[in-house]
Amino acid sequence: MTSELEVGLYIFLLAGFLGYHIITRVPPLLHTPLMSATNAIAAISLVGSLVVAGSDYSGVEYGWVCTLLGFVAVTCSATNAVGGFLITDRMLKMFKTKEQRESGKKRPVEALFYGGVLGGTLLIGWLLYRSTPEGMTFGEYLHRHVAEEALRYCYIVSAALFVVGLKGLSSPKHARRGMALAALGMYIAVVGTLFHHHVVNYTWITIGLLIGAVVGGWMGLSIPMTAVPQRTALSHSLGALAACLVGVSEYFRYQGELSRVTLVALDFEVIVGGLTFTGSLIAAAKLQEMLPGRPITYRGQNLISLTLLGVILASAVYLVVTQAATPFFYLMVLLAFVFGLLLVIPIGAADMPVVIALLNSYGGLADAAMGFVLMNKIQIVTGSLDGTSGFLLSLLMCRAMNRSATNVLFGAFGSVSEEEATAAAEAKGTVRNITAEETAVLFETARSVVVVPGYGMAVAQAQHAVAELASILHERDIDVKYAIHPVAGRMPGHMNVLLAEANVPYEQLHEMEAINPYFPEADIVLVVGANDVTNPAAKTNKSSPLYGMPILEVERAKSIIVLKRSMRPGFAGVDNDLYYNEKCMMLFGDAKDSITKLISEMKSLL
Amino acid sequence: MKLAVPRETAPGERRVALTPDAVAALVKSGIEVMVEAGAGAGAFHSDADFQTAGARIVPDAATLYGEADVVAKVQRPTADEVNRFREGTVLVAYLQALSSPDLVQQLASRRITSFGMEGIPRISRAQKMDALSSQANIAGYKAVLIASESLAKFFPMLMTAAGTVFAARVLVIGAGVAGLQAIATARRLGAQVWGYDVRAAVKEQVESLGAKFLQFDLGVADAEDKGGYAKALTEEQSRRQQDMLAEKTKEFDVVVTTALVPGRTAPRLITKETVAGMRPGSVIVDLAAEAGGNCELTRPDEIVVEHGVTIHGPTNLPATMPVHASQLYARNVTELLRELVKDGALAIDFEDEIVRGACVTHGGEVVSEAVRTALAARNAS
Repeated sequence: MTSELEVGLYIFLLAGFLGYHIITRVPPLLHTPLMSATNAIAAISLVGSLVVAGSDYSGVEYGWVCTLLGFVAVTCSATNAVGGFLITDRMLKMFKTKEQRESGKKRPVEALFYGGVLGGTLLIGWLLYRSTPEGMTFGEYLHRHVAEEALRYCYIVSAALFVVGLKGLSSPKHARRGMALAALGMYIAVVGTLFHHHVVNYTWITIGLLIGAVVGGWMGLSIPMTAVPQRTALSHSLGALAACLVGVSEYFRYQGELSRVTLVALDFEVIVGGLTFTGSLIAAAKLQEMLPGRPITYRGQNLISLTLLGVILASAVYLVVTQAATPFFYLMVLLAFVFGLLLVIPIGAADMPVVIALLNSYGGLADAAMGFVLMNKIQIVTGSLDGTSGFLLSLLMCRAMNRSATNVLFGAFGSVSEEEATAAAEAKGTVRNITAEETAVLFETARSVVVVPGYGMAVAQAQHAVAELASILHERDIDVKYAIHPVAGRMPGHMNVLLAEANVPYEQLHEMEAINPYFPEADIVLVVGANDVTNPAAKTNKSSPLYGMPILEVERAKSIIVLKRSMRPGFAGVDNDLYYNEKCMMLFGDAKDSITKLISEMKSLL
Repeated sequence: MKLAVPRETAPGERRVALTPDAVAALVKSGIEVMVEAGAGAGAFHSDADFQTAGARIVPDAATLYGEADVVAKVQRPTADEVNRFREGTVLVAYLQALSSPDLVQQLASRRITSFGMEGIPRISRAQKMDALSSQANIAGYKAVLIASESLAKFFPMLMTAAGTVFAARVLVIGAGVAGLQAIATARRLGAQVWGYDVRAAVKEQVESLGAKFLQFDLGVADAEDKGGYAKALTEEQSRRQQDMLAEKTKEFDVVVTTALVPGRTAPRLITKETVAGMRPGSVIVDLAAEAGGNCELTRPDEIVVEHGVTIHGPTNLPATMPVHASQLYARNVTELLRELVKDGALAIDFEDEIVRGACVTHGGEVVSEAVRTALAARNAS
């Protein structure tokens, strides 16, 4: 037992480490699908639930309670698994490159493959079921044919598939294939578990799986993309509930007579599972606007929460010490539910994505704890992957919002000053940032691009990088034009000198009058270090020093990406209204560095 | 409103103030354009081209000026020409008002409303009228071509079976429009190029063209005035600058100087001694020749050879490329005219920043602050 615990802990650590490394490579663009994916993978709690629901409780008093809890857990987890993978796939489909979209014939092939796997397994299952001899349960028959070791190898294969699947999320190109592999891993793990030696009763399992598949399938296919965050939250709550119920069921079955190690894991499982369940429900409700989105605070909030946490921890310790059935266990579960509510209620709806990522992490940890309780290694691996990825993701999201995690989680207590700051910034509108990765994906979907070079390109000596980017776009049949403003740069013909040096063909260069009518047709305008010559204030604002100067009308394009060192004004010393346009995104940094990064991102996409 | 385009009379001037394309645009906006016979010949535009564009060809200047409401010229008019203008005529030309006080006084006394293209303020809106830039651009380009022609060496580096030729080292002093274009052109020809300017901000611009910036400490924070032109240096500073520059200049094969301070004689940057220290076969092209020259040995419009160093002092390089020079100048003039004319009639808003900057005389008065100060200074001495 001890050695197995040791192995379990090693697995937990290594899987966590692996999770950290895989997640750091996931571009911010794929953070939402990642959250959904880890959520789907967290449905590995299904494995534990199956064991609990299918076990033979004939020797246990009120054994039906265990079966019932297991059944609910199976239903929840199955919903989670099916819905999670389907919605992740839908999300990732939006990142398809042009080629993939054009060769749309792939779809039936995929469907055929999945259908084949499913149909084959069902057929074999049915044949096995039909050939069960009289007087022998299906479970006994299976266990005689399949050795326990086979299940372990199934788990190893599916663990590997999960890791490879998450790794796929590091680029939109491989993401879908990765998730398909992860789904396959989940399938193998679930099917393998049916052969688990504890599983003898298949009735409730089958019903639970069917309900879960139908509900999850419906959720996964019909929920609008805009509702993905709340669905993910809801799904977390189901997964956490499953973990919690499995824990309760185990406790009930053995009436607390378990080893202290197992009890620690079990306590952790039910507490974290419980608070994640209610916390996620609140998060989902806030996102769905069933609860007010603003932070809800009241006096003594901290005190109440801390007292509650104290009671929960005290109960947990008491349970581990006594190693016996006490009503404290149920009190603890109940309080964990309440604590989950209190934890999320004070957090504003805008910060919910961070909370969801964090709850995802909790859900993963609860899963891992379940793995320790049942000594199921696939659950330890997955739970650990999930726990670290969720935690890291929430930190990354905080960083993207330029706030500390403490500020997000406990910020409701001092949010006034921040609101003022936001109000001041909103007077002018917001500036949207974009990363090189996201820009690369945008370019993938474009058909025509107009490059607007300016003095910033000259200073950064980015002309060669710009020309290389243009030739890559050209290879992908994306039309590239250069829009040269008559006063771009600091010398007449400044841009011509530089672009000629980079061998940009003369026919790609267009004068302002010639290109202005073309802007509405351009999918993307890439402004490389040009500022005043794109400022719409020159047309609209009479008080601007630029007023009357003809400009490149980039604001009429479908989207605008501005490469710029900072928000500093240009030669004329005025703020550029363009940057507050909702179609405009800023890619801050040295123009040459940004384009070089963009080029390598574009190359990695294909 | 009648707009007149005379034939340029200054020796060597081949530009014309408006090209047929520009004329066509102005005619379309309701202006009556008259062109003196042969006005475009130097820039390869025949009278027939102007006629096709909608202009009326006038056989001689006397008739032209007798009818004109507005005269568009390249070079400033001679005293004789000014006397032929009708009173109240609007004149647009490159007046060089700061250095031609007699002309300014004559224009004022003849009640001419005159606009100097050199006075267009350097604001974003007026960049399309900036004839100084458009013509300096040509001068910078041509200066390097002249240098390359009289340099006894290659510009680019070549590694051949017959041995290696090292790239010419070019120094461009004064990184204004002409200087920057000279840098760009010399780079394109394959030379190793350095730029130098007293304004620290220009370093970035020089480097933006892929050239290096020659830097030494003069003990001035920044020698740029608010219009973006160079300020005059103190005596002490200018001596130190000369010493350090002299030392550095000797290392170059080609030196192009473009240092000008508006309304003053050009700063002396290259002395006789420095020239004597340069390698024989080197070339200096002094674009400040007309304002006295950046080099002590420069003689306007002459080629001087001293100590084996060839010194060019061209004063009107744009006139050597009359086709494009006229095209660009015509655009500058057209844009200025659009500011002065509304619906085919003169409507000058003397409060406008551009008008205030460019207008030299109006209603018998010298209206330009800068020119008045310059005149007062001259009368005092």
